[in-house]
Amino acid sequence: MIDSTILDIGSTKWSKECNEIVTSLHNENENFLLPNVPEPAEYCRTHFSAEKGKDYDQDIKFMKGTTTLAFKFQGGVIVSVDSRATQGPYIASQNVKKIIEINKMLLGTMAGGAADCQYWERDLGMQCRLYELRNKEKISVAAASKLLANRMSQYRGYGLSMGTMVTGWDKTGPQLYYVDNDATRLKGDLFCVGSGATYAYGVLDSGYRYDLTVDEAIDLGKRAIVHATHRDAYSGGINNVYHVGPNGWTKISSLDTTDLFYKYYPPLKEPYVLDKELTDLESTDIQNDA
Amino acid sequence: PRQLEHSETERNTMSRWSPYQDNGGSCIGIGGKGYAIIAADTRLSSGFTVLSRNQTKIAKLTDTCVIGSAGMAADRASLHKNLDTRLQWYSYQNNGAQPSVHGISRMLSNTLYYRRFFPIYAFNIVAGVDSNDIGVVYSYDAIGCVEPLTHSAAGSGTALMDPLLDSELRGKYYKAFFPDQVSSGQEPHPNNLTKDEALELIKKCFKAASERDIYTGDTVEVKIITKEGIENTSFDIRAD
Repeated sequence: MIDSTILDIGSTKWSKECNEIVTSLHNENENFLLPNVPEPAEYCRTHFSAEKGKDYDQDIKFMKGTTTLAFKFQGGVIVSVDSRATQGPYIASQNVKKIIEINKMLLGTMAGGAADCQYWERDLGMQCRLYELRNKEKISVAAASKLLANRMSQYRGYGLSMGTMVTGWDKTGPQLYYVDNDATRLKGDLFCVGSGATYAYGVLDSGYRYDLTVDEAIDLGKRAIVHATHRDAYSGGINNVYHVGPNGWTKISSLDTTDLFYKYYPPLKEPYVLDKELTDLESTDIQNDA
Repeated sequence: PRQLEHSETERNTMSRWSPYQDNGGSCIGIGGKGYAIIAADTRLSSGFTVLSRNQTKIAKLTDTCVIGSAGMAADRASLHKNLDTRLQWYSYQNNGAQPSVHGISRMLSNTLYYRRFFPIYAFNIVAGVDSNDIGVVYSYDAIGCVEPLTHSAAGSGTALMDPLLDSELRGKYYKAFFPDQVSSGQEPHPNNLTKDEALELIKKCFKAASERDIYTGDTVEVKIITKEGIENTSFDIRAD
């Protein structure tokens, strides 16, 4: 039937349909696909949890485990992390990037579920960029951490696992915020997150002063991770250290934690010799009653 | 002895339907200077039964990029088809251009995370050669955590093949792989195997895995990607 749509011949008519088809393929713009069960949140928490200790019975295990730490001092912020990812009892990777460069001024760390941290910090990077474009100024650390915390509160109870620190240098100086998968958001001077956090806190708290020099602070950050990876089975690999200064972050070092440990604590010069004891025994004469 | 109530025994042995099934199999990716290789065995199993000895796990995405997935066969087939369709649309909307390996790796990560609350049971490896002739392998977990590596194994034989790859390929001081820094010349490629050495290493890995993993066996399909194109080859391993 000939009607006014005859004028739509050509690319205009088809491009609208094409766009609809393509957007339906890129369906990440809409909501996440949920399992078709009466209680989706509970099902996800029990079957698709990424939290440590809760996923041993699951069919699918996700990558997680870690020690990360960050602290504020007079010269800025030091961020120091390990790089191990475990899948149940298996070490899935020894060189995961747990410091996520959100933009040139902001850093985020990764602890907990690897995919959860990667995805939501990428999402945060996108939101920060949109803020910059809309407001013609760089986003503050407080605002960026609030955006992330609000995202987490939308998915609260679904089994996400993310313990991250958002840090940077904005117009109020160096800032450090801790954001959690329960949407906890805390401002602080010093945080350690992850399975090896307690070990790192011990070293970090005893060596921390606000007036450390940059080199001393870097050394303290390294030592804390080395001790944590030495004692925590879920942490290890390479120690990545970043420093956040007034002009943004710089990567300081990327060293193997085992080598660092032996550098700080070289093995004993004289190892215990078993043969020495046996030779001592042989030299004593045993008198036979002959 | 106490008489067990009927409901007690039933509760313990009641089988609940699971949307997932592990069809077994293993996949390896190795990337070096100028090449990337993906290899996967062709066995499809279900429990203790072999359903097929000739089922592929690898799909070609573009002329420079290939994906191999181990885990559930149905989710793998659906994922590969989805990716293929989206790449076709990309080329229609961008004048025949094809996305780079890095772009595809990010797209797959987002696709997998979209299913965060009902995961795709496929453990993927994306291998390809980027525009500066650097071979790179991207390894994923089930929900899209991605990292660029020079070598990776996925599937039922991971715990057998990963250690073998690590001991052959890692130097004394482990180096992480940053493909963009290698491309810009800031760092040398940490993997100094040639293409033929890499292929020999893959044969060793699958021979080792087929000895100890019941789900790995039959033949191994290999795709070698260079900037000239994709070369197919295969070799046999234990079929028992």
